Amino acid sequence: MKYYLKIYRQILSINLSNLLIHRANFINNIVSSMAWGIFSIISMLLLTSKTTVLYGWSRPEILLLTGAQSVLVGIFHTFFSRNFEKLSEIINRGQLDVVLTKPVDSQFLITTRYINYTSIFRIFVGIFVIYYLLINYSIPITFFSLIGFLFFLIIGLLILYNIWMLVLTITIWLTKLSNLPDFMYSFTSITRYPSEVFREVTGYVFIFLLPITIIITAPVKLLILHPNIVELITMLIIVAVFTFLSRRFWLFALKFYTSAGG
Amino acid sequence: MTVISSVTTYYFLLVIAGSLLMSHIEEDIAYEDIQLGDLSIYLLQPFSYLLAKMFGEFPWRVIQGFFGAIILIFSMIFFGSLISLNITWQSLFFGLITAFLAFILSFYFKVVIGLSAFWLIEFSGFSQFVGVLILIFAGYIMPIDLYPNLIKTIAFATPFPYMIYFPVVVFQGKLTLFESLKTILIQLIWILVFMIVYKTLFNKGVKKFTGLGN
Repeated sequence: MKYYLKIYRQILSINLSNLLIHRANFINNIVSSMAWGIFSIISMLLLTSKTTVLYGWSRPEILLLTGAQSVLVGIFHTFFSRNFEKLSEIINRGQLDVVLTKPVDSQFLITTRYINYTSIFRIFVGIFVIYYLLINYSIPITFFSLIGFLFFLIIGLLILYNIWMLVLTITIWLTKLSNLPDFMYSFTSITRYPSEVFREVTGYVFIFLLPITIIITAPVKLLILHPNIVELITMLIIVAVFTFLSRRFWLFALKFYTSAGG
Repeated sequence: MTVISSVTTYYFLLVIAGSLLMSHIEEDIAYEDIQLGDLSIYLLQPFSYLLAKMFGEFPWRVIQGFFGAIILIFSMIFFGSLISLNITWQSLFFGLITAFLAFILSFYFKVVIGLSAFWLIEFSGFSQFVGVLILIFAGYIMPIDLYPNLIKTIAFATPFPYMIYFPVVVFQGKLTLFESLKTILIQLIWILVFMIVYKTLFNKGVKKFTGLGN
């Protein structure tokens, strides 16, 4: 464990140096990540401009949800997204061998290698929105609900990581699917909406969508003191199951990996 | 036709409108032609650069429109009860004209955006910013007539609604004859504006491009 923490510290500092070397990209990426954060707030503002209550959520609460989604997605983009984008490239070019021959776990290395520090600004946008709404609309929270929120936010992050991992492991077989991350970005943006929106959808589609729809709404409901215990327990079950499945699937997929060159 | 079914129909039509009518030529122009220098090849050829790009873009729109149509048909099978479309000769005729002009408009607009790569070192930030503007003002989030009044006024002053929102709404038959004609006129005006901007920027940009010895 300490070994991996040491490696992760190195990863953090290598990425920081890279950031400082490529300064032009720096401003660019900050603008992009803030633009997306602000876009999600604006689109939710527009969608709720004519209503006061939506599926049991008041307008400030829905905007709070959007802010929380910015935070979660911002954390995910900072630490993991770029790695998943590079994954299909790495597999396609046969560079996975380099990763596999290292004395570090392959899944760890390929999903943590790159860090996109500029997405931190998206997290800031989200935190600002949450703070602003909590203060201005006097939405009640307690210290314990905040702790619970942070805990389940991390659980949600792990669920999201495992969903991406499960889907992107498919690129070991279908190496040409290099735009799978684009699809996953769109899929992840479903989390912006309260899970009640998806209750209308029945049957297999609902079960299929269930994991991704509750990863933000359940923690936020806990934060604003309307916890849905069923959803929270479901999250805990899902994180255990998906972590196990994605790990097994990745190790299984590695057996089918054929490298590109001598 | 209730308000809810007209809004849901809007979103379904948006699937095909977005894939068929919105051009993405700016990526090709900025990254391949300008930044990587492929523009030189086009400059040596005896036909217009714009025409070459148009012929490249057209098949993309056809195939993406085809995929959009498949998705739309699938959706209609599962969610058919939610869609209500009142197709009259007028809405079909004007719908096709506004759709065609919308494609031309989005193409010219995106070409102009792509040409900004002559001057911008970092194109992708600017391009993503424009992307967000389009998402908001072209009617991807929701029908523009449902926006708050101030945003609505701003949106209709931009060319973006004329790329996606108006073709869909004309197709739904929600505009009168006079309003449809007005839409077509405004589309033609915006196309003219971007044609002029294109000519100016292209000539200036090519001078700068060839000056760098690419």
